[in-house]
Amino acid sequence: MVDFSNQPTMKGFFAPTRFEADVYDCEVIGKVPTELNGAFVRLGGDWFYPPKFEDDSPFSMDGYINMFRFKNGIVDYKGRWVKTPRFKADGAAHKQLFGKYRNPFTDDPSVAGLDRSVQNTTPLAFAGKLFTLKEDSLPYEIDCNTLETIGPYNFHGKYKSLTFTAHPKVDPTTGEMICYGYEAEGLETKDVFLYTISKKGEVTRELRFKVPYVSMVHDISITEKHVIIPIFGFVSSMERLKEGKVHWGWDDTKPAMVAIVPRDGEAKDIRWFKGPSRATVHTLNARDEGEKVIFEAPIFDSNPFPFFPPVDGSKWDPTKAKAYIRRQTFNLNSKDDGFTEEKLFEMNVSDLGRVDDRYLTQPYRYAFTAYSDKQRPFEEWKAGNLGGRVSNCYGRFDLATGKMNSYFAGPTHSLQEVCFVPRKNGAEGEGYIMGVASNYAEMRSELIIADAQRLEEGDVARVLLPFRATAQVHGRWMDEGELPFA
Amino acid sequence: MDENSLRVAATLTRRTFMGVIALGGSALVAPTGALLVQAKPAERHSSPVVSFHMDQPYLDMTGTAIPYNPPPGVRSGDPASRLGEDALRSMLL
Repeated sequence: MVDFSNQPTMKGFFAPTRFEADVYDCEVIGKVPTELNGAFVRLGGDWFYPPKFEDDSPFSMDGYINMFRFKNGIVDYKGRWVKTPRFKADGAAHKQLFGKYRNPFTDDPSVAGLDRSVQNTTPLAFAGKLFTLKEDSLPYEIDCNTLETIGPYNFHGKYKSLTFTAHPKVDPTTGEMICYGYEAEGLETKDVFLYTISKKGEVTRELRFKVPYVSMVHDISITEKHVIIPIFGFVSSMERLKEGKVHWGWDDTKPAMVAIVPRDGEAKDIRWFKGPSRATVHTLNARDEGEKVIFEAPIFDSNPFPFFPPVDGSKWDPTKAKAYIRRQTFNLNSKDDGFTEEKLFEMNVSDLGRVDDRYLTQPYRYAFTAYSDKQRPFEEWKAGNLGGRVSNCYGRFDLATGKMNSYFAGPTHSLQEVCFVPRKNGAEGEGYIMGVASNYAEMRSELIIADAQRLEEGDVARVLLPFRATAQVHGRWMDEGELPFA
Repeated sequence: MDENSLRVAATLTRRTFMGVIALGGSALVAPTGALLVQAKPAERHSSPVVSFHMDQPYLDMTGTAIPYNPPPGVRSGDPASRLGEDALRSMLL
């Protein structure tokens, strides 16, 4: 018996959508640019069965992969559950068997030893294959046409870490993927395995090293010569897991640490820098400038996640859960472990930012992300008391001039992560931004497509779904040539 | 200083007085002419509350976050059959 009625966060617009979907020739307001051929692939989570514990993290939600397939101005939609062993086991038992986020001690004994992954974080197209990524396990290969799950993938047995990041980086110059796993040897291990994988999908390099303390290593940046790896205040321990807690707690006394790893170096060549408490969950870009490494990211002042509370028993502080686009500079000639930091924009933004990926490792000018503009209208009687609390705008942030251009979604909408789709052979920032809006009034999701250079003019097209799409964690544009689309 | 109490000594002006009242506090004038303020403790809920962060609802276990109030009717998950005629009409306007 499935019963969500006692789940207070899963009501109305946020009630679970438990179906799989196909919508052919979607309804469109405006005109879908015919130059967009490929797919906007989204990965996120939804609960198929209610969580075992009220205070579990939403990161435990079952993975759901969905795509808007673009062909000659027509858009089809398809959504499928990622059918992991966990999803199948729950289905066979007709209930949630798995406990708290990355804590197997809270599971039903019947699933001991089973892959706990829910595959709900990032879709990836690489070496002609489509994958789902979740940082607690290996990637899962997905059929790019049916979105059916093929299974876990370990790069011909050469990828040895037990885990794989949700944020690998593909070097646009070489086509190589820089990826890694943390807690690579198992739960609570300090091991990080860092890999280079050729554009054909062959592992060409492995570097093993340890982090100073077990912490979330969610995202990295790359330059031509270095990999930048931030770790920050999330802590974990086997004792914590045995006490039945979620994997992470926040420890404000832990310094934010950043590893600068030479891409062709050894573990002994890694420089660890140390700064004040911060949370760098997602990154924008980085580059080498002589002996300096310049790294930019939307960085939180402190713990962004209320469901990973402070370990000292204090209350999670929403006023510190704000991200600002910041630049950190690491001087590789310095004798100490400090680094400099500056705030590039004074407004707080969503940390789910994107750049033109063709400029990864290189100097670049534009960053895109969502933010909340409290001056814009919000119709609370149609959409709830969320005015000023939801991302209602996408911004193009010009890092060269400090200016920002803005797209507004509407008075009953919030925006999920933005995606940038470059125009073929276009200059940096030339192309479209894309992202799914939640229309709380109409109880539906709308894919927004806007000209990235003319955001103030509004969207050029909205693809309407006649239902609420599963919430996205991350989405990626996958061009026609990247995958063997039918 | 206790997080639930606030003591402010300031010159008594209409602006500070009104500011204190707006905070829900009570004001006393000390013999020196300074303003001594004892604010009321912040309202605490006895049970977890659904709030909103990063475009998603979450359950605030401390019960102190700003509650999320969904729009009325079916958008909040309530069955339409429970709505009265007036409520239904107001939703359609």
